Order: sequence, then structure tokens, then C-alpha cells
Amino acid sequence: MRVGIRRINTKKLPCFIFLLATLSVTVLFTVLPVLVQAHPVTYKGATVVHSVSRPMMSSFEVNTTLTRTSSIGLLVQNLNTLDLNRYQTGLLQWNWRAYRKNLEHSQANLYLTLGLGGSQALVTSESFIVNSQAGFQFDWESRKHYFALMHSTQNFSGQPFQMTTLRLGLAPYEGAYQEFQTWFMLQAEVSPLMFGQPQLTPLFRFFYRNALWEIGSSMSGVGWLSLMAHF
Amino acid sequence: MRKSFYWVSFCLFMVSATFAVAKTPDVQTKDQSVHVKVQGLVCSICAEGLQKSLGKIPGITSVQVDLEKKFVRFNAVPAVTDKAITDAITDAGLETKAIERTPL
Repeated sequence: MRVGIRRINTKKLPCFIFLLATLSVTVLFTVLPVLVQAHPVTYKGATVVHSVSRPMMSSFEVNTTLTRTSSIGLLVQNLNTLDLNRYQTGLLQWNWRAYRKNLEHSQANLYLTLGLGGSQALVTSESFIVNSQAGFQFDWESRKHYFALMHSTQNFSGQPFQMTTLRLGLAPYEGAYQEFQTWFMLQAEVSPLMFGQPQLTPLFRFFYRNALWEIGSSMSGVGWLSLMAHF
Repeated sequence: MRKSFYWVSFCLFMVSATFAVAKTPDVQTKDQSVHVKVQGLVCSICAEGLQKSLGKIPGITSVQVDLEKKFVRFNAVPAVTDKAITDAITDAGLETKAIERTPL
């Protein structure tokens, strides 16, 4: 009996590696993490669905704007901390737009968020713990520029999970309504429980009508994928 | 005789003028093209919200948003008041700067 060894076609290897890498990244973004930074309050009657995926955290949020200045929402979050613990969290949120300034070519907003729910630490097998959240978001945007500063604090039985994010954005062109729009974003984050050091993440943001996508990777190789839709 | 003719002509003129004035409201029952200058209109999501918010008002049709020139244009029946338009724009988180109506 002749046993043959199949030779690998080296010419097809780069193509195979590329395919494998693409699949791996897709699975990484889809199965792993998601965090959330939805528009806290949009227009009256609107529902926003938003998910963010990244290796150490994933989240999914849905909120409905009930009045001109407030919305209620639900946040589900999966967090892997630096101390190798893993928290699954569910929070009911109330968002309030405390300030809005509409100018001819720009707008500015200040949002406040309060949340209450529970978390489960999976690794240390702690029982269900009450979790509360408080945060704010300030943003200013025109059709060419974007600035946002966000901070959120959650308390897992006295242990604070804090996250501060700064975003700067630039649109290379001014797309008309119902046209595809593109933004370049630079995101800086500080979160001692999640990262050892501040993270700097360049992102691409794309808009089309009621949908928004963001994709990027931090300088240390941490991926970011965000999907948002308004209904 | 001539004096009577003038009197009759004058009376006919007055009657027709009265009818013309009385008929003026009929002109206002025609649909209007409404052009509203809006402040804070900077992104697609704002535009989407504005379109949906105005589209909820009965009597408003063909809502078109121009992000570049910061206005919204639509057709409306005269019963749609400026207050209803302003309220819908405020619901969308935006601000009304000026409303102009022209008959269709």
C-alpha cells in the first residue's frame, strides 16, 4: 500500500492566510465583547439599538426616547477585567439630556445617565450583586468636526469600574442626507479595571441614513467594532 | 338715465368686490409648500428624526431635508399650524429659525 503525502500548494498560501485572518477577525468581533456608547437621547419616539465589540468587553444596549429630553434603556454587558475576573451585567438606565445648544452649523449636548441592575462575577462565582451606574456625556459636533467626552462609573459591590473616553472626529467630506458618510475618529480611553494603561484607538465611522458603523484598532492591537441603528 | 346707470354699475362693483373678499378664504384652503430653516441640523440621524417627527403630523406630506442648507421643505394643508411644526421640530431635538409658506 502506498502512502502519499499531499504537498501544500505554496502559491495559494497567502490567499489562505488572508481568508483565515479575515474569518478570525470576524469571529473575534462577533463572538467576543461588546460595549456601549449609544446616543443616550435622540428624537421623541425613537428607539436606538447599539452594540460594541472588543476583546475585553462587549455590550448591547437598547433605549427609547420617551420625551424631548429623556430616555430609558437596557444595557447588557460582558466585562473581562485585568484581575482575570469576568462580570456579566444587566442595567436599567435612565438618560437625561440636561443641555442642548442648537446653532446654525453645530450642536452641543450634555447627557446624564443613571443605571441600576445587577452583576454576576463568573470566575470567582460570587452571587448576584447589585450594580449601579452614573455617567455623563458631553458632545459637540458640526458637519466636519466632532468632540465628545464621556465618563461612566459602575459599582460591583463596592468595586468601581470606571471608564473615561475622549473622542475627536473629522469628516473628510460633507455628505448629503441619505448619502454615505465617513468620519475619521481618534478615541482615547482610561479604564484602570479594563486596561493597564490608556488606550488610543483610531476609528473609521460610517453613516448611512439611520445606521452607523465604527471599526478600528488601538495602538496595542485591541479591536473595536460598533453597530448602531435608530428606528 | 345716465346717473342710474352709474349707480347700478357702482352697486354691481360693490357686490362683486364683496364676493371676491368673501371668497378669499377659499384660496387659503389650498395646500402650501412650507420651507423651514432649522438650527442644529448637522447629521443624518438629526435629519432622519426631523423627517419622522414632521411626517407624524396629519396633513404633512413629501418631507425633504437638506443637510447642507439646513432646511426642511414639505407640503401641508393650511390646518397645520406654525406651532405644530415648531413642536415637531423641537421633538426632534432641533430649533426652528423661520417658517415660510407659499401656496402650491
